[in-house]
Amino acid sequence: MKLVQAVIRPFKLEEIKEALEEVGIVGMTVSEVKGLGRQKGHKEIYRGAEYEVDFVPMTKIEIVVPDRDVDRVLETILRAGLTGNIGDGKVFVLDVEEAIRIRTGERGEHAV
Amino acid sequence: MEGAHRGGATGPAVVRMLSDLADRLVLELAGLPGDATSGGGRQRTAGGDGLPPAARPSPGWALVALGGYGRRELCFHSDVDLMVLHAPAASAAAEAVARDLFHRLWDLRVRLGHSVRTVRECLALAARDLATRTSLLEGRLVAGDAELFDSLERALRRAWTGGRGGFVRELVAEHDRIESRHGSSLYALEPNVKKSGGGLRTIHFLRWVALARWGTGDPAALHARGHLRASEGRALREAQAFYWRVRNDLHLAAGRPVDVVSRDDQLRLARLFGYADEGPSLGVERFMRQYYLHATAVHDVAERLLARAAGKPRWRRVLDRLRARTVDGDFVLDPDGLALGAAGRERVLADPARLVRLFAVAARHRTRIQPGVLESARAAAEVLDDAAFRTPAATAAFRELLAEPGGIADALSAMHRSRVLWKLLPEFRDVNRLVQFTRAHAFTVDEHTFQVLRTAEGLAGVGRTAESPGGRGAAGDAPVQPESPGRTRLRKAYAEIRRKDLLHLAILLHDAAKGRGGDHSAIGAGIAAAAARRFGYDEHDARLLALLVREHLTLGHAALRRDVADEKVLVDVARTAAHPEALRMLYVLTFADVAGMGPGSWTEWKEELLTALYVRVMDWLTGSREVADPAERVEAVRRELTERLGGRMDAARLEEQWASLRERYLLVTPVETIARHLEWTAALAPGDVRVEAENQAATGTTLYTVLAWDDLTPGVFARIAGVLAAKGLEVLRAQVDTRRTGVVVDTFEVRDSFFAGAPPPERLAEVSGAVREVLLGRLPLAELFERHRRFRPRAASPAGPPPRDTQVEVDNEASAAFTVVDVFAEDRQGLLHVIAEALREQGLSVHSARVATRLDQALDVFYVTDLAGRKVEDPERVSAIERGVAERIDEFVLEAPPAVRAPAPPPRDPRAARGHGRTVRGAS
Repeated sequence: MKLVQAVIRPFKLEEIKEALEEVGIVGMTVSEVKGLGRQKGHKEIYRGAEYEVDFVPMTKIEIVVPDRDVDRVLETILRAGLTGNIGDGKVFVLDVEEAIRIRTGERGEHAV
Repeated sequence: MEGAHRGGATGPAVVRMLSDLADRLVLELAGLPGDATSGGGRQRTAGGDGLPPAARPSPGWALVALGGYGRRELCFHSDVDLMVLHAPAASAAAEAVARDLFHRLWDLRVRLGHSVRTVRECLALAARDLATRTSLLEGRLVAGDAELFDSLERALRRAWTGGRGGFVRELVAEHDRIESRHGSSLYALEPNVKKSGGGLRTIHFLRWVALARWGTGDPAALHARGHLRASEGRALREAQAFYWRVRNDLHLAAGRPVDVVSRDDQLRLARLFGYADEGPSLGVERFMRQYYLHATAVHDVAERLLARAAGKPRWRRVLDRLRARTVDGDFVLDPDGLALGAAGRERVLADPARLVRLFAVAARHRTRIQPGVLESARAAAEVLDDAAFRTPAATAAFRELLAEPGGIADALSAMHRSRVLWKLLPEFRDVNRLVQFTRAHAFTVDEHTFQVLRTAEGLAGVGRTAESPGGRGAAGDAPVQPESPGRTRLRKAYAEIRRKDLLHLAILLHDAAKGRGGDHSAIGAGIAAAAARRFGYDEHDARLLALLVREHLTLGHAALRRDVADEKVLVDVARTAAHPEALRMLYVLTFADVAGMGPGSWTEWKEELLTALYVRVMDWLTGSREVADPAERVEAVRRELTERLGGRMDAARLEEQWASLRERYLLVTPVETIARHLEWTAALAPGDVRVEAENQAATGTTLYTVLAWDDLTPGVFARIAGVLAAKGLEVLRAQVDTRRTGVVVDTFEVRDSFFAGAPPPERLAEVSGAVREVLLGRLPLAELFERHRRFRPRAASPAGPPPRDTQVEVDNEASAAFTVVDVFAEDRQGLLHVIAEALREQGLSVHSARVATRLDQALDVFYVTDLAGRKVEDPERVSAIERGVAERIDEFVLEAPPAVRAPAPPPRDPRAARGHGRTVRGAS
């Protein structure tokens, strides 16, 4: 199992969620996060006046999927999350050792 | 028993059956006669009247049911509180009975609360602990020594009932403590049937307080003695029966004593109570609405009865009377809140306007209205006709209530509970305790509405007291949590809203159409417009109000679900709001609406996204930036200018030039551009005109800067726009700035469709020359147009998309010195000239302007005055301007084809292509 962790633009959430649903992924954890990457926090000169941005509001989604589904999920997120501009975000894939559904105690892939 | 519950047995019947069953079980296990024959509990008993109250007299000890068991109000998994009461001499016998009985009950997995006590021990415990005291006071003899039990009861009653003393105060204080802790949970969407406000616990408190004060907790007896109205007794009875049934079902479903009514439970309960879905109205929503109506009723009865029971000692009454002062003639304000003066009482209760004024006065003094007065107001409202509230005096009182932040939410909430609000806004009857079965909402619609108001009003509070003027950066100030930039901006926006009454009314109505099916924003807008007219607001206010309600979700949606770097999003929002004032209101409304959904629903994260959108759109609407600290920014510009120009311009000259600049110009213009403008104006001879032209490689546009003397010729701006139109140039942006020295500095960023690449220097010189000639009066504009006839647009092509509505909005609130005209229109080549001419035709002089074109939409802002330099505030003149300018634009737009764009050269800077507009002006 893998944990796919994607930091995306907030307004892309709906689109990505729908795209994932289409490929059969329905469960995910969503959180409001702030961060800065290559775009840095920037001091934007916007019409001659400064507009300071320290950390940029982003949305983080986390999905645990069986290994065989990882590529499908990644492809979907990359496609639906793209605007082509700086600040589109990043995706990380991590190994997951175990998953347990609290209510039933089921383990492994059955639990995700 | 379960069958009886599911089969529709009432709450009271089931709790009685369960209590009787417990009685029989206890008797049987204790080996006492009475019900030994009935075995199990399957048979129905008729209320248990046949049970022997005390079986065989057993000397020296008694079995006593306490608390809910004592009241015969057991639910399926309630605790069974059982006490073995014994005489000091019978302690060994009592211990034996207790051990035997309690063990057997434990073996049957009964949830047992158990104790073994003497009368003296009971009294000592009762003195120490409030919970034990109330539990003992409701003790009931199940079996055993009746005389012993009577002696306990007599002693308890003697010690604790029938007085106004400490016990009542203790109970009231405890009740208040619980209420304030669970305050908002009265309408929590997953309430606790026992502990939430207005729930079973509140009913118990009522009974205890009545018992303590008047010696009986029985509603019938209280009614007979005049402490409880018949309707109140009925409300309590109905609520209690309802709660019992709910609680029984919760216990059965969970197999445990669960008291929280979760969403899943609500769905099941709605079916049990027979609420089916009907069209847009979900059964579960109607069920929960019933739930909250009960909670509200109980809460109201409790508030009144508790206040009454607590009474006041004589010295307090005297003191309060001394402290009381008359306000507004009819009312009396004392430490308990607002009440009616003896003289004014009849007058207020008979006169709708005075009745509404009661709430306005409470709001102004930020005080509550005393519960008894509220009850009288409610009774009065019931008999008064709705139409009687449609008088100018009544609506004026209501409008006054809405104007001054601080106590509005509380006053309106009281007005809603007393139903006086329904007289003015009948729509509120429909959202009374209306439930929204979504996860987002923690409150009923009405309660949510008051929360939103409270949140908005809260922005008026003194936010950062530690930041004293001039003390910026001073260390050692009081440690105050630094406020987020978004919150600061929200406060500023709220402070700048002039018509807070309209915002507050919009908040009051924003969800008023919930529960009707369809789009609640659209339907609500209709309600708002109608209400505005009823309340005597003028047409402009009515439109603004309807807009706020209709668009109350727009900003949030755009900020969270749309790409705010996409200009289409900005354009749409800007068009929707149209006025800076409206945008500010929507900004505050969006924040308060989300924050009012429940604890934790508003986050700094959302605040940043919303604020980013607000800042960008405000920029479109005012042509200037919302700058956190304009003075600081202006000072920074000044320092930089002095540095840049210090070597080339002497200090006095620079100072003179500086003094002529307007703040708005300084805030929106890059410093290097300001510096160049200053050098050019310093060199401008009296009566002369100077035109500078420069191609902008990054955007494929040309920038024309025109310097002229304001008194040279009337309508400088319109004339320049005319020349550019005649030459076939498309104006993307324009900035007009009239200096205090009388110099006009106008910049126009244009696209020249006649050249595929950058226009050659001859072209720049030709256009510049024409502008100069026209402004100097050497070339009539009409002649220029004639000469360039071939550039005139031909008839409209029918294929194009239908033009969007032209909007012309006059705003006298954005600026102290100028009237601001916002124009939104479908862009056409030459449009700016048409608008400028139309403004001139209306006798207006343009002092400053920000013209922008985005996605075939012109979003233009003009700062104008009349020819005498005054703002235009006469309403008739304002609407004449709006109508007149819009007409001119429509004539033109319908005739002219959409602006034909030569394919622009591929921009070299991709960021500029996205149109952030950060490089454009003055960059080279």
